[in-house]
Amino acid sequence: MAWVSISAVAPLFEGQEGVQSVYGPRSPQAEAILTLSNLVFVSGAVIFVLVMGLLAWAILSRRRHPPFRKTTFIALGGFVFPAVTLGALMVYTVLVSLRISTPPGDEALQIHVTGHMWWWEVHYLGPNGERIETANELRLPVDRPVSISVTTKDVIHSFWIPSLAGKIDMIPGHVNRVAFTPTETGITRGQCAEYCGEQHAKMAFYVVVKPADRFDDWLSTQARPAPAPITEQYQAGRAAFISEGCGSCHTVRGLAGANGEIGPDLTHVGGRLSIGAGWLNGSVGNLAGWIASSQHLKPGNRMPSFDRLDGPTLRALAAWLESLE
Amino acid sequence: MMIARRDPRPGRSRTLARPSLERAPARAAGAALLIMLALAGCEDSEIPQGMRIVGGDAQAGASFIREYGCPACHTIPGIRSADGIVGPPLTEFALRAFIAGQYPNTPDNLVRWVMNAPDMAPRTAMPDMGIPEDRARHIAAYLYTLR
Repeated sequence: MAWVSISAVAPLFEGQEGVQSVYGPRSPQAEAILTLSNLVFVSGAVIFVLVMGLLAWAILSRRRHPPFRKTTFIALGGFVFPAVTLGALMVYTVLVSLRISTPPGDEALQIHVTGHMWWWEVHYLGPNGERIETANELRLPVDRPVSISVTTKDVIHSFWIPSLAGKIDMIPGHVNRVAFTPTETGITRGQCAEYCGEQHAKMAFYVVVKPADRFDDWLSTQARPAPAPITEQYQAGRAAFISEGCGSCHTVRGLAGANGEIGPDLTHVGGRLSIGAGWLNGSVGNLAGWIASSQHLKPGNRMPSFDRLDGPTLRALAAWLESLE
Repeated sequence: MMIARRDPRPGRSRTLARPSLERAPARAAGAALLIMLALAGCEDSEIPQGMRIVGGDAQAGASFIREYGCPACHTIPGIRSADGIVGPPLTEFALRAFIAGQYPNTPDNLVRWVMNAPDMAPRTAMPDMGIPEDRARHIAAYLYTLR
């Protein structure tokens, strides 16, 4: 009966399968969670209507006594019914929980994500156990299990990709794990799901699921150091990056002195879909705007607004960063 | 209120006929209809001949404005969270006399500027975002709706 009801309710949520929605599951784990929530929602609604119906009957009916014995009513409605429904629901919930929390095997892709106020540090483990760092974006191969270990450098965050998996807390000094298998290529979006401070809402990231071979290409690009500047403008931009001291907070692998860890690794920032943690499109215009007014765009983040650069220097810096693909 | 403003001398306004209370809703509805008609015609009729962009679609322009990240630097009416403070606000852009303080605000100059600002003003902070001409025309069309 519940299944019929779910399909009756489903059209309510059609068109909601957006880039960040629990109603557009793209992994078996997210699908199991959606089915469970629909079941809870529908059975809760049925019971609510039933109870309200009984209440209305009790108020409106002129009969002074129920048509059945009080003790039977209390025994059935107050004990047997809740025990059976809640018991069944609990068994089902435990089964779903087991299914979505089964640790993946050795073939799973290992990723570490560390929360910061307000961005995401992402490490991939390469085939030889080497660390490949990126930020604010996950790229995953399709149809391969992924195991993501999460922790945080500062306050408690919650790592949540609604269309791929359930929420998992990021706790300082503790590693939690979430595993899932994306089954569709495409772009989806994740979001911090636990209030972590002023810019909690602007703590998001994109997840790009690709065919396996394209993922491998991408990962090997990420493992490489930043490319050398090929134009005069890029050279000027790189010089500005060094002279403004950007390297004390940001890492650009292959650039001497740029090994800061306070901000995101920028080695391949030009290839990312967004800057400012899912907040602005990754484009040269947004990069320039972000450098000049990051405190206006995302007040309270750790990066000062570099609003004393002259126009050509700002453009060169943004252009060089965009060239780091 | 309108009457009092037209003729602020006390006493004078009383001699003018005041709208009766019964008619007020009808008048309000009539006024609202006029405003809606005026707004509906806004796109074409209110943009002066010299500021029409050939092949420009303001609505498409709005989405390109978001896509290219103009809101990070500019305050642009009608674009969500476009409250940037890096470049000048683009409020009432169609009424501005100059682009970047040096080029007359004509459609040709505006399209060129959107496509490649540093080419026209080498000291500008506005990057060349590689916007193709057709998209620049849409963006320009949007900017000319800002009056």
